[in-house]
Amino acid sequence: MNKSSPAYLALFLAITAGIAGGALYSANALTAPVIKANAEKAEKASLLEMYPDASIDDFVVVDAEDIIADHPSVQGVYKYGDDIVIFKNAVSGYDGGTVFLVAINATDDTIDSFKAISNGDTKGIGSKITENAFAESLAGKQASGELDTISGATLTSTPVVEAINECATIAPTVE
Amino acid sequence: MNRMQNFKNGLIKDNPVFGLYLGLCSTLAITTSINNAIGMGVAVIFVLILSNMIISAIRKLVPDEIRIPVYIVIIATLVKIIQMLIQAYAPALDSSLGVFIPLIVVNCIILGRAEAFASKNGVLDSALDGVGMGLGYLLAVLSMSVIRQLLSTGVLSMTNPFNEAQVLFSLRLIPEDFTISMFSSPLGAFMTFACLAAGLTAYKLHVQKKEAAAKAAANSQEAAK
Amino acid sequence: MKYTFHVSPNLQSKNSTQQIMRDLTIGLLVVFVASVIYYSTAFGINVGLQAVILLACSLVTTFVCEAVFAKLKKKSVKDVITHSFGWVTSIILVMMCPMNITPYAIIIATFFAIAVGRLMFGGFGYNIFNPAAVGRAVIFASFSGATTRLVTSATPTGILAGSFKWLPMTEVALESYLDRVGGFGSLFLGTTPGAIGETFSILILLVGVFLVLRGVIDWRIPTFYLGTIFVITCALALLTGVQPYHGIPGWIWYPVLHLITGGVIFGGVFMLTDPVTAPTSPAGRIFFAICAAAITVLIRLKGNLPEGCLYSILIMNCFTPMIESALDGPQLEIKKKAWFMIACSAVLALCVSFYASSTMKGVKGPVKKTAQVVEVVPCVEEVL
Repeated sequence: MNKSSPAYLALFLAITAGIAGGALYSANALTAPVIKANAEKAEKASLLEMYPDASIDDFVVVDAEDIIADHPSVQGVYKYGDDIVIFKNAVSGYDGGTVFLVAINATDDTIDSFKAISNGDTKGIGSKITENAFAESLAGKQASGELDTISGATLTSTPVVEAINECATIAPTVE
Repeated sequence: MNRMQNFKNGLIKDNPVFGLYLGLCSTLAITTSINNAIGMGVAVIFVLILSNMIISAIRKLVPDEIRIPVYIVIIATLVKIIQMLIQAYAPALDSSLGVFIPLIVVNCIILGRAEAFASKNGVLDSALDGVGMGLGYLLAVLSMSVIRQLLSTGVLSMTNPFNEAQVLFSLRLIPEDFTISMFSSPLGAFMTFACLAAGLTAYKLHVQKKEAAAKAAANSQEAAK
Repeated sequence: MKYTFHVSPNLQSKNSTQQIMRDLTIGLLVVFVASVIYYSTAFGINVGLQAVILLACSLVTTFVCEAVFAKLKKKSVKDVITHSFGWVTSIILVMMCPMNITPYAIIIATFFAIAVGRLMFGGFGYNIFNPAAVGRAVIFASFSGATTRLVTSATPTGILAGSFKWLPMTEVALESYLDRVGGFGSLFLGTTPGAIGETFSILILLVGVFLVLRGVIDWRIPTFYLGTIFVITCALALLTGVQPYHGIPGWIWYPVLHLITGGVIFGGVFMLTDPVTAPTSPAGRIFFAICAAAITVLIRLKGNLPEGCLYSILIMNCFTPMIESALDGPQLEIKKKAWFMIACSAVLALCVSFYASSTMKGVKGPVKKTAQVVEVVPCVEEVL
């Protein structure tokens, strides 16, 4: 076979791709289960931070595909006990935005707990949303009512407050 | 000795990042912490050595017309394998390096060395070249990370990549109130890179001048004889 | 930037660089002293002294940087310092910062302003970017949260941008804004919190007139800069239907509000006119000023930042070499090209107002202070 003919080139490339594919397949078989277990652990780790006394099996992951389709800021929904629905939200802000967890009591529409996981806005201003003062101000308030923002950091805190209001409307529908 | 000279060049004089200006995109983006730098550097060394060796081993077999697609397939496979390994065993590194692990495929250093060196030299030479260039890259990103992490957070710290909770060392050298946070943003990345690249160029010019002076001295000695 | 301009006809100015810089320094110091007096009388002498301390830190850093530069270049230290006019950069930089800034932040910012903004490019006359603007950008990028909490109240720019989205449309809305900042009078006289040197609008305008008469700055840049901002916001007011206030029609009070809030007067008089970073040809300067005004208004109205002057200056500094080379040559021959460029920039400016008017919703009702959860965060991020 002529070394420059298209047939030879195509064959060579196909064999190379085949060998590469085989290597990838075996690597995937080796690592895929480990990756899946890691992802689950990471998802539940932040939940444990909100309720440190609970065990990891107290949380039930809710199939939230419909909710996420309708409300794009929601990333995950979990149930804790009978009443409490925990929402993981990602909202935009001044620069990077905020990722946070809010636990809403579905029966009486109160905020059980709030935890900001990460914030990418100005350090010292927008990042105040991750501090205790803000979380404490939310605890016990009506989730669909008027919630306080942080003065001087309204671009960061307003989307968060609006998202909590939105979650309050979803919470009763989660079973 | 030519091999050792090649290896040493890759470290400082022809440092791929500050001397040859290759792989800048990943350098500027990930050098915010020492963990990232070491993780990325090790990944690049791994891919470089293996890709250089494989490409050098099959260099006589590969037809000239399709050598680039073949190299890319090989490099992409290696990068994907290492990405899967990192995702499985060092997930913290995966989330901080993010998209820059797959971008190692188009890191100019790897394809550049494959084209320029591995396709023309033997397996052992290519492997050494890979080690030299890879170590040069690691040195470059590590130096940038140290500076940027120190100035933007005030601490030099490193955590175990396989076990995120374990902190290997953490030194606070600058008090929290005196950190300059812009160094963790691209603004600081460009400034740090510019200063280090200028430093390397100054060093190279200095070495050149010394060699020229030594040569001139040797010539005049010869003429005097 | 050192761009050799081959223009004709040539006319040599009577002023020397030393004279120009001396007049400029005097003008700046007048505004600075007025500001120190205001802060001392309004908040106490220790606050007023803080401004002087910040200036001292900045000056010391400048001289140290230039001395090191002189040593590295093997020149006489005194020569470099007196011909580098670093103190002008220091004064401008300190005046652009709010009173709350920590001395450490000023030192780092001055270091970047002088070393990176000017010396790395080769020294006085070679820099591309306005060094004071570079320093202020560094503070904006790194030290927004670093404050000494000396003066804790929101700035007029911050309130206008945050609560009113830059478009108070009715008399009621404007009243509630003016109540919070103390009326038009205090905006004109600078008796509001803000950057140290930028609030005293009337004084800066007077100093600007003085400098123009002395031949220190070109009258075209501030006039066209402020004029274009006036025109753009005037068009915006007409297009969105801003209502009159106590009989003054909306298309008068709204542009004036834009001009006296924030740092545009200061930027137009002292920073855009920097002879090193602005174009040399008159037509180039007009083009430069109009484009800078368009960018300022665009950032103010549509950007996340409350004030657009700083970045508009830096962006237009990038374009200065291009403007210079476009207008290089016998000036009488390229007149048509110059007029064409200016017309384009005017069209661009008007486009900004059309775009803004079509996408902005004004604030009609009175706006009270928003609820405060944590302790009041001094709005450092909002000045320039």
